[in-house]
Amino acid sequence: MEDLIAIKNLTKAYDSRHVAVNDITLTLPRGRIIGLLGPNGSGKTTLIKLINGLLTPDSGSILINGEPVGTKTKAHVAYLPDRTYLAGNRKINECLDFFGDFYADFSREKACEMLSGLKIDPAARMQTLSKGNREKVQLILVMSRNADLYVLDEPIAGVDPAARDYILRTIINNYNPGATVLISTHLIGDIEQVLDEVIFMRYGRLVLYTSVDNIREQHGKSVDAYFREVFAC
Amino acid sequence: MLGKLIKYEWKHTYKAGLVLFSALAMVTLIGCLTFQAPMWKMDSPFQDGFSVFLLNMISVASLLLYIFLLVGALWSVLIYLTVRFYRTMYSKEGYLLHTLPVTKNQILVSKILVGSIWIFLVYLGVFFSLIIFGFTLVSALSGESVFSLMNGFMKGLSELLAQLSGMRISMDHGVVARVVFYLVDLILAAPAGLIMLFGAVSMGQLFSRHRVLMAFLSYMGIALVRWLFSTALQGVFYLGSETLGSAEWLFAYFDTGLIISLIKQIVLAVLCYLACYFINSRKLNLE
Repeated sequence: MEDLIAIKNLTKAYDSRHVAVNDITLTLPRGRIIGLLGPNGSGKTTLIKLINGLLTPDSGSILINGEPVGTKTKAHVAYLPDRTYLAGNRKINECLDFFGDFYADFSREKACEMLSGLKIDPAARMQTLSKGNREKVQLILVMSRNADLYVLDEPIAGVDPAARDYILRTIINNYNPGATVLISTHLIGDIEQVLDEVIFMRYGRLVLYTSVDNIREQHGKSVDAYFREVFAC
Repeated sequence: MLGKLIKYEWKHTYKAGLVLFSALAMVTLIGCLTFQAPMWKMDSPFQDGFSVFLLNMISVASLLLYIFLLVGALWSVLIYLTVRFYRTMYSKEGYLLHTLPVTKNQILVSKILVGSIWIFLVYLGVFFSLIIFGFTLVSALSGESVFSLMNGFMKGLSELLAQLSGMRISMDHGVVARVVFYLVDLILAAPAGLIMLFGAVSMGQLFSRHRVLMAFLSYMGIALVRWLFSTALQGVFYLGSETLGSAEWLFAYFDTGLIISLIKQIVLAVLCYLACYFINSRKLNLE
């Protein structure tokens, strides 16, 4: 089967001294949960923004389902950014309408079910929710899509451990099994148990792309322990 | 998808529009109350005294406030639409907008269309406010009621229209062309002005730092180009004219000014739209 994502010689520099993504070539298959791991400033968010068309690469290419990043790929990619992108004065109901109108693969029923499970009132405005609940609402919107690729940028950063568990459960229980989930984080210990594969990045370069089982078998360590060894200061 | 974008753009801006129209109604009321002061009533028996002086001062202040707020209404709609464009396109809300399965053209057209409608509506609101203000002023000076003045005006207007319709066969084609040109120029001014503002905001995104400042400087640059463009074209006309100062020259001068204004608006709007499109499709770099 054709790879889901094909990245070739991708480079993005913000200025001459700061190359955020440096000549990355990578192909990602379907049906995997992949951790995009690396210390702060390693280029994870830049790579994710490039996959979502929020940044323009300086050179190289990205193909998703064989298509360059654009209108067609955006219809099949569900993206959770590392910030709140829903306006504070919007009601959750309005956000559900919005997603339903623009994404053909969005299931309002699924979203309402998840909101009701968390006892979040769909009539509430985003700005009245706690930070944790705002992030959960965004995650619910993203995971209620039947996408080919879920790109989640730091989904568990800045929330309490109970919320982290909820977020991870939501990801595992709701993603389309034929799809790939790309999760960026530096909180590896919390996420390790759900990952099939990992990508290590440092200084914008690809350090390693392998399966979690491979790390455990070859190095006899958890991903977290191996990450600490590779990125030891 | 364009229809959906327009629907949401309208939905997300209408509240601000209602606030602006409410403010406009309040401002008009303040402007009209101005003429209740004794200084406007020539036959008022109370022309002296401190209280009269105070009322007159309040009247003058209200009049100035009315003019100030009316100009403010025109500016505030432009500022609101520009800030909203920046917020939804290039700040955190842009993360949602730019990941929707829609084309850049659809995004830009929806914003320009809805923004232009709001500008038209505000222009209409200001126009009606001035009409009401004008009637109240004449009423205060003449002593006639506003309603009888309005009746008289409507009668006069219908007579004028009847006369014009009778004259339509003999009407000079030049007059019709001028009126059409003026209307087209007026109608194009709203979207063209908006596209230039959007273009400047987008040009600011080409810089890695101080993007808002760069957007402001870009607008200054566009304004300078606009001024140079019309000055150069008018200069060419002025220098090339042999009948300087004559009536024909005066007509030709105004006609040229009108055509230049129209060309200038179209050319700059097209260039700024292309800049917006290019930056969003080839140079987008959300922070």
